[in-house]
Amino acid sequence: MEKHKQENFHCEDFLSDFDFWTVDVADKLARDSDISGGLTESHWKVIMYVRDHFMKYEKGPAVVKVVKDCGISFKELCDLFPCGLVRGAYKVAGLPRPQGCI
Amino acid sequence: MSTTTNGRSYKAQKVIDRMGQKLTRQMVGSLAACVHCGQCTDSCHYVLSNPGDPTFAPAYKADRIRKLFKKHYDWTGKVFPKWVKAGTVQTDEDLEELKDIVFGKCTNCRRCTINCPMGVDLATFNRMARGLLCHVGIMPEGVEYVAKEQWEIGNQMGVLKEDYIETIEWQEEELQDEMEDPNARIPVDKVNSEIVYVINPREIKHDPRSVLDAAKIFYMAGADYTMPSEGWDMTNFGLFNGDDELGGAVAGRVYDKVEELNGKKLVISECGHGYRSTRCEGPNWAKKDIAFDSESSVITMLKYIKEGKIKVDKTKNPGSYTFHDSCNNARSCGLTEEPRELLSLVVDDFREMYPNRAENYCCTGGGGAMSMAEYRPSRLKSAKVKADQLSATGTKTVVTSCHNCVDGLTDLIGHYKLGMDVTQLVNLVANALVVDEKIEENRKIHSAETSATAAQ
Amino acid sequence: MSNLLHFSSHTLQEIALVFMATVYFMRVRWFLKWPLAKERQPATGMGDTNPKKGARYSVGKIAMPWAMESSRNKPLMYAQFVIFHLGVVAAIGLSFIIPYGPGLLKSAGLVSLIQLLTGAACIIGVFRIIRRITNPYMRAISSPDDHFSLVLLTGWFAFAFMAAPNNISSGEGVMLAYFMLTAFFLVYVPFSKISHYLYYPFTRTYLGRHFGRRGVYPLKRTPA
Repeated sequence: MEKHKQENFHCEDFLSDFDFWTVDVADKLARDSDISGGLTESHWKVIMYVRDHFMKYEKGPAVVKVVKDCGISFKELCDLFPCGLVRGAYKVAGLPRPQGCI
Repeated sequence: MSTTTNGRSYKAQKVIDRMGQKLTRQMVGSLAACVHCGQCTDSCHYVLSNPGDPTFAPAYKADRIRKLFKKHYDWTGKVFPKWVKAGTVQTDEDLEELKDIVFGKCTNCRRCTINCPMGVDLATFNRMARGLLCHVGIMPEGVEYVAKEQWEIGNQMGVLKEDYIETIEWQEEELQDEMEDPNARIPVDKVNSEIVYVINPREIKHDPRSVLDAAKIFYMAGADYTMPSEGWDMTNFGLFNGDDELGGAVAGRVYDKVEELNGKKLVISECGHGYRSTRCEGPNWAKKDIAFDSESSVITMLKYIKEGKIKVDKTKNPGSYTFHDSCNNARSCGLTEEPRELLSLVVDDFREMYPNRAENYCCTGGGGAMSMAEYRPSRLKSAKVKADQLSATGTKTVVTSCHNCVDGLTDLIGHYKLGMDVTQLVNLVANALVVDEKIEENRKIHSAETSATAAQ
Repeated sequence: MSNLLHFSSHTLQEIALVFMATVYFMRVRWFLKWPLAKERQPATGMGDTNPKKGARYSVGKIAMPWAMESSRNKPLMYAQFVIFHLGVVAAIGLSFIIPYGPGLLKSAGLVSLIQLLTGAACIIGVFRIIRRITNPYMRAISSPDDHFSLVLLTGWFAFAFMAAPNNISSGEGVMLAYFMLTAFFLVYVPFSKISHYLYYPFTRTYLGRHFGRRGVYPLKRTPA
């Protein structure tokens, strides 16, 4: 993991290569994103949804999609990913850093 | 690489030719007047955070553009070109090098501009240079991507119209739940409204809390407002990539929609570059004089409190706060006093940051830098002076009226482990709102309606 | 007075002045041909300023070292700037006084004043040369013109200092050198950065109008 850090990460956070993502990588990313206590089933539901969306549309889903399609409230999403949708869920799901004012 | 007859690459030739079309008298003055006195050096956060590296000095960076001007457009520079460091770009690599300077070593924050004794406005001709490069397809990948989204989809994050509408409906439900009023609305495309409220796509795509917070404030103030279904993105990458065409198109979409809806006033949510682009530069780019009023939501919120339309209780926002002025708001739009006044009304412990207002340091993510992944390490390294400035305030939370600054500051706070939070005025105002009475009233109306229905 | 000195202090100066004026005229005409960017945006800010007020403030900044962080934090640099430029005024003044109003130099006070200013400016010039060469930031932004102009100006101050008493009893060398140098300057300046004062009123006014309209000038701040 550590030795791949340089080439696969944009600096210290987002994964630069979507295909480099594995469950272990997700665990590591989760620790970087203030998720204590490991990834639960609820986390995985969001993570897999985000990954699926990215594979289809080459961009992360809007927060309204995540909340509606995963059947959670925004508050629950924030509790699961304290760093928010982008720095939390997108990041753990192995998405590259999105562009724009982010 | 294809070349012209004089051995210069086509792209390089195009950059030189186009410069002549883009230069204004103000820029020519700025390009001709520099005396290399070095007074600007210490004003730049890149210089202050990278001691010993003169290539970050504003005058040094400016000279990379100035040399082209002197060589190709300034006839006195043609007398002894080397003597006044006139020079040219010959190859595409030269253009790439220039790109790394105009995009990677300057956030167009204008701090050197206000510190130049001669009145040289580097940021303005730096933006012009960005535009020249962008015109021949040379710009950071992220900037290109976002510009494309704004051209094609109409907002910088490629948010689809259905997602936008669905998000507003969702936030409307949240508003109804919180206020216990099933009739609470976030109107979309309502004609003849007093206010047309435009936002940053980030608020839809990633974090709609600010949409809800604004809706709550409008609701409590009883405002006659609407959100437009098109032309709702007030951000503008034309400011960042130097493309006046894009700038005019994006701002034009907003103006057209306001006119179509016959809105009285355009209110722009808290975003520095969006405010500057939509409020100030947009009419210049779109070559259009705007008939309606427009203002920052900061001013709107402040008016609501001053006019007694909303009540706030500052004890609801405990903790210590400082205020970070966005470059675009403070140095380019003079929006410095209203946010302070508003902040003082909604928090108890506000501590000034030094330097402040138009002399504040950039969040270090300005000028589109947040979208330039390739310069990220250098950007964070150059945030040292900002980190020191923040931690010197001794506060727990930094407040700013700019989405881009929120992200720039969040990044550097994480990088330098400052343990501070970043928030915006809309969040603090919404949080401080005195709503209990209103909710109680709604509850009564609601239960009266329910019992009336039951009695039937 | 020799013919050469008379020629240098009169005809040569006049030719050089005409040349300078011609180049400046062309220069300003060239400058004014560039299109002025039009500002369409409605005014921003607190409504306590306007383009005119902004422009006055902007042009006046030259005499308000407190109004700009770069001069506020470096008062010595500002003092140097003032003396250096007063030295220029004194040296230029001298080049007119000697040929056209030498009587004025009978006043020992005026001679002392010119010598004080040009002498101090010369010392500052030396300091500035050292700074431009040794400070890596200054070196990086300097062109040959910057170095040459500074050296030339510093030397010219020295000659002005020596020429101020207008005394040729011990030889005309100093006076000749001073006037030759002045003539050279008049021809060289329009092509060098020394002509910056030509742009100053324009750049500062444009910037001041821009920032005045936007409510930025005059700057507001809470001092630390």
